[in-house]
Amino acid sequence: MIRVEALSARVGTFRLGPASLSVPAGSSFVLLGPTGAGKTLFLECLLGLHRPSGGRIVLDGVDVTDAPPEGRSVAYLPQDLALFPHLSVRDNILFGPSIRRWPRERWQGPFDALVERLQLAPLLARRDVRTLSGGERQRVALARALVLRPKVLFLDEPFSSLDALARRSLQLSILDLQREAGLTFFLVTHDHEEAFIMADAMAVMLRGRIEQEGPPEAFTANPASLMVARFLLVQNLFPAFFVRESEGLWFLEAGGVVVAAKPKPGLSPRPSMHIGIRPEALVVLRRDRPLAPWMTCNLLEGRVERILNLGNRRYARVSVGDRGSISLEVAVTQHLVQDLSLREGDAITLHVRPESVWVHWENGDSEGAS
Amino acid sequence: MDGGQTLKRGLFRALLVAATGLAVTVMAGLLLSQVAYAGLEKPLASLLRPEVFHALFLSCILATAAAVIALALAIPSAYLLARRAFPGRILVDTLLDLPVVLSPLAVGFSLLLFFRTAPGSFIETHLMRFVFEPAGIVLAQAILAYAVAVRVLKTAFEEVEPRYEQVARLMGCTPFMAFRKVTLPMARPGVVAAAVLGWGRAVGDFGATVMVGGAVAGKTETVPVAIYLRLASVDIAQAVGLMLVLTAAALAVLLLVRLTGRAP
Repeated sequence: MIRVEALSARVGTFRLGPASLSVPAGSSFVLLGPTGAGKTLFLECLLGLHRPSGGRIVLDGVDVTDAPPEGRSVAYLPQDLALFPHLSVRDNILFGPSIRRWPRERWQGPFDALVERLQLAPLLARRDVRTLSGGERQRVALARALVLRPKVLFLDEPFSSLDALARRSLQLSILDLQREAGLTFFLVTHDHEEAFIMADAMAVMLRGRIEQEGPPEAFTANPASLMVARFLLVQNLFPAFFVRESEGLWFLEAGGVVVAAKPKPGLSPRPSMHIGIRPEALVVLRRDRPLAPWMTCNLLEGRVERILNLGNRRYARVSVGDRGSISLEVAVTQHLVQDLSLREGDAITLHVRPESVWVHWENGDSEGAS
Repeated sequence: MDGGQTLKRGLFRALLVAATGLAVTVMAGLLLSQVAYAGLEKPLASLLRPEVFHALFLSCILATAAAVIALALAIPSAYLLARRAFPGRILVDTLLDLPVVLSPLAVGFSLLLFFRTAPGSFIETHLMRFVFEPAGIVLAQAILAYAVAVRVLKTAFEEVEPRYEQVARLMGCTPFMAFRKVTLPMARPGVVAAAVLGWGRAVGDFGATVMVGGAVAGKTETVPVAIYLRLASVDIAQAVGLMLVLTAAALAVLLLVRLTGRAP
């Protein structure tokens, strides 16, 4: 559906690309990256709002690289939604059909369906869109984008202004809508959680380049480069030294702690490396239960420094090693905290499977191991 | 809170009120002095005289024509300055500001000089006469009104986020349609303010008008020119009557700008 080949663009001193990616029809694709990575510029190139300096953009089999925005037949939901304040809710939704001079029979069906699906009936008579709540504005903007029955909907961080509850609810309802209608979504976000909720496939953009593209699982299990790992595994990423290889495992030392990792076949170790462990991959072992047979290595003794309560989830920050030289962030449940009477200062044992330890070379080459 | 701080706050408030009170007193005093000198009866009665009525009518027609021409040119140029980056934009922007700072007399005199150049003479001889003609007054007033309108409109267009136009384009609008259907309606308070302030600038002008149009009674005699002519012939009652009309028009214009500024 969307094919981007070696796209490049420039704004001031910032250079985008060359960036290539491919989005299959009917999928929900997420472009994830930190602020300033070039995501919005990339999106503006796809939408025809910024002229690329090189490369090719193909939408639904048609080369649209030089086509104006109105010639691309795509819909767009920007971060600020851009509802027209001089038009009523109804006129906002019907702006596209009225510009294209569609006869009533052409827009009435999709209009009615969207009004029902997005529960917009009570809002239609509202004359001033500025009086709508954040969630209502999102639904009106979505209906305005979808009433034209586009094949692709581009979304630029459209949930960022919503509170957590409204955001989750709208994310799920938009995903349902996307799957029902077989739409192709292209979502741009800096929010990791949002990316993983919304994505069938995703790409990470850093410093104007696509660093990794693939299914969401691949990003946490096997970041393609040290840069991607730094972006995705910010909590538990450490410089490490190769110690030895034994029975297919690499033993690496990070801050005095030796960790075993299972490398990818065909990779050779180097003296200076990095290891990364997702907080979810670390398990707090119960002292009153015997170890499972596979827990022969990576038993890390540590002390709870702090329990971070993020409202809907918790993390324990645990210092590991003789001198507490590295600090690991461990995902814990409220149930576990209560069950183990976990408190700051408690001594605990952690375990991580060798295959869940990500290893990468210091220089950030594309080869890695996990 | 100690007494010293309370005293400082009281002094500050008193300073604000005193400065504003002084300014309001001066303005009101100016208005009242017009009436106090000649009373209301004679000046208002003089407004019914045909030559005064003609000056009022001419002023309205010429200022309206000037404001329409100014707006028609100011809207595209303000939009260009607000939206597009091009080489020499700062220079263009500064040049268009010139009539705001320049004395209207200088603007009018420059126009007179222009009509003595070869292109100016050609226009005068073969296309349209401007010097000492109502058309010349419209031209001079349009230049002054344009400078005011373009400032107001540029700010109004800059306040409309380009994102709205981009969304409109993606829904099928051409650049012109996006401007007409989205940006222009969203900048409506600014457009109204530009029109009204431009009209006000034109209707109240004396310097440029008298330079280009002369002071030909019954032909190029606008209200400010008529006031000047009445003062020259020591007809104070008529001069005050005309000044009252001009003051009422100015108050109406400023009030209208404030009211439209609040509209969505």
